[in-house]
Amino acid sequence: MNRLLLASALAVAIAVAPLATSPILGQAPKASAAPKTPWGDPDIQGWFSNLSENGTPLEKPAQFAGRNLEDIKGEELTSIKQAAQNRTIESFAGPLHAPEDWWQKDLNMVKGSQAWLVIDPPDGKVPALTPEATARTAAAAEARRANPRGPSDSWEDRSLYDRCITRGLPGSMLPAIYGNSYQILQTPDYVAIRYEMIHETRIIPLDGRPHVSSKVRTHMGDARGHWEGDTLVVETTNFRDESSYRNSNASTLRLVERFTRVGPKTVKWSVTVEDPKTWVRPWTFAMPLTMDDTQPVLEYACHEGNLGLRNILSAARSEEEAARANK
Amino acid sequence: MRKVLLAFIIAASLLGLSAQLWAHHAFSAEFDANKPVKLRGNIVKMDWINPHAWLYIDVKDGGKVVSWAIELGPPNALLKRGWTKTSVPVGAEVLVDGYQSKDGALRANGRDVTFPDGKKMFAGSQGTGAPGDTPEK
Amino acid sequence: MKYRFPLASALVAAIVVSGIAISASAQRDAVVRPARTADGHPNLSGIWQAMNTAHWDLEDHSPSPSQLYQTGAVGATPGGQGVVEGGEIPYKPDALARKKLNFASRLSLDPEVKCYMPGIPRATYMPFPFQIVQAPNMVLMAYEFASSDRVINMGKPVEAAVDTWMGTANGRWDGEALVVDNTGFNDKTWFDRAGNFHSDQLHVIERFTLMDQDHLLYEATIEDPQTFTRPWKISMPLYRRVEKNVQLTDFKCVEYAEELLYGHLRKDPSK
Repeated sequence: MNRLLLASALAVAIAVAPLATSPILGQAPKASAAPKTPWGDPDIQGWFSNLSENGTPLEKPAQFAGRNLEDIKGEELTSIKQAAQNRTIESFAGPLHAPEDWWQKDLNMVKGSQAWLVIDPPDGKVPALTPEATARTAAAAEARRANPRGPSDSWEDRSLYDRCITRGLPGSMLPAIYGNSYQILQTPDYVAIRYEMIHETRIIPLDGRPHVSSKVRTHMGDARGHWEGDTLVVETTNFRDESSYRNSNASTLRLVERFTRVGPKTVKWSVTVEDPKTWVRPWTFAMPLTMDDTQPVLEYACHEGNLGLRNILSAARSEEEAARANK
Repeated sequence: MRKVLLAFIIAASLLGLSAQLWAHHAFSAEFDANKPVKLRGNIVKMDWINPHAWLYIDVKDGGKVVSWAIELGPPNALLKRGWTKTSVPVGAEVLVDGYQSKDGALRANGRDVTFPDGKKMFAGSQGTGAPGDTPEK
Repeated sequence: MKYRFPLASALVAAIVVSGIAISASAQRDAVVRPARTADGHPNLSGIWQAMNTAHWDLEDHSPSPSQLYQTGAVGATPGGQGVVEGGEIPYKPDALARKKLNFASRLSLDPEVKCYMPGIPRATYMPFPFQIVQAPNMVLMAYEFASSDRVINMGKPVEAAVDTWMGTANGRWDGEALVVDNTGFNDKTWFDRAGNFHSDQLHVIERFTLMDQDHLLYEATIEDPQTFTRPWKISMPLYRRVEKNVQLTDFKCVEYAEELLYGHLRKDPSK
């Protein structure tokens, strides 16, 4: 009888040993000062904005050749950001625009944290295209030359953004002049990320399940997440051709995002972009997301109010009509 | 024209201006820079819709009253500054500076929307954007 | 009883281990999807779906043909029992007349056809699963149709700044029920495909109560003094989608509605 008890006790010990180190049971493998959810995961919840990162170039500009990202800071960084802000405002100085105060008052690019976004490769540049990608781009250009279309012959000639369909991934989290609000919510088995523009919601399972079949493709892809210490790692595949990031190959594109709280109000977001059919090596860019309760995610019912698209098509048809009448 | 557009997009992305900025240049696809309008009218209603809010005004045109639709910016930026649907004074007289739509309809972009005393609408006083600062008529 | 260690005991130990392994995974399930969240409230997280004909017609109705004969039986409306307490929606007389006009022209007037966001309560019982993510202080409900979603504020109630399609939701717990108070709706959504509609005075109070782990009782009281003579109520069970690895799929339907909305503005290649 004692031996049976011993055997069972041993069996119990073996079975529960992995659980004892699981953060889910509140025993995190390493000590960390970062706030935790009630069930023991790192807490990265809140309303976030990256408006201040608007206008930061993706790649290292030529003027910084030979310098490291972390060395461009302080007054030098601020003056670069001020110049970028001035340029942005000037670029809208033409006659045809909406009221400027609407967004210009909120634009505060001097708060931008860095001089460019690409952190790997070390030269700060997007890697070279593969021969296959170059051929793909050339073929698409050739197809357009053979079958020329105007910018507004049909709604299909307008961008997915103009059509209020999607900004895709990582596009939905890239800063623009407005709408730069995101919300992160957590439960033990999911992390949900909401994006104001264009009202996207990603609900990312943390239970280690496999991706859906490659036959199921969506604009925001299929995401799977897990925690590595204090970092949420989200791996996304299953993209669609029309919205595959930077014209990459939708069926082989893989994005790996990392979300890590690096301060009381700051979560660092990095994106590793990998597509062996498009770039010769993976590359990574990063920027901070800043907690801001004054920037909640509001409803952005884009398609429902998309009078602009209708008017753009109507304008193009009127111009054609006028051109015919003048012949 | 398409070459110029393409060149701009490439230049814009090199400068780091996201393609999203370009979408706002779609105003030039809707409105005609050769058809400037200056409209004085009373606010009938404001549609707080995305991606662009629309302001409807009644303009007195030689004895007749003519309804114009004015395309503005995206409302969420203002809503986050505290604007609500009661912030835009219905009945107030405004001056709209803009350009008429290419298809000839009574539509214009609201490049500048001001009160007759010169105060800008949607800007608030001293740039605070607070709706309480907006003069009411 | 006598056991011959190690073989018999090892066998028993193996059985015990597997028994414990099963209950350890049940323990893990119980931890990742506990019956209650850390704050002691029922855990409504999961993927749910209605299984009735409410999205065709909230009231009792017989089957009827499609307005597009080409779709034959596929496009026809199945019959079904209604979900309205008392049977009929209490329209004011001119609102009832408008509902009938809506029904007659539903193909052109139903906002669902144009892929417009469905509003509340319609989003709940559309023929798609939806997901509840019950985070601390916020409850997210994400719907497949048109990537609609809403976040229910569980803190101090906030007022709606402007009218929206999905409304502004403030929630609180009433015992075991999640009570959600929704205001700030525009007048552009319908309640179903039969033309049942409302004004921008719409006020919807929902209750979500777990009947058991896999069944959620959904009740919604609808108030709109401009359209109805009195408040009225719908109720239905929602069923948990229990398949392994079940997840939502996008239904970004804007592309399916563009021909309908803009086809008349497409460039005519012959011109």
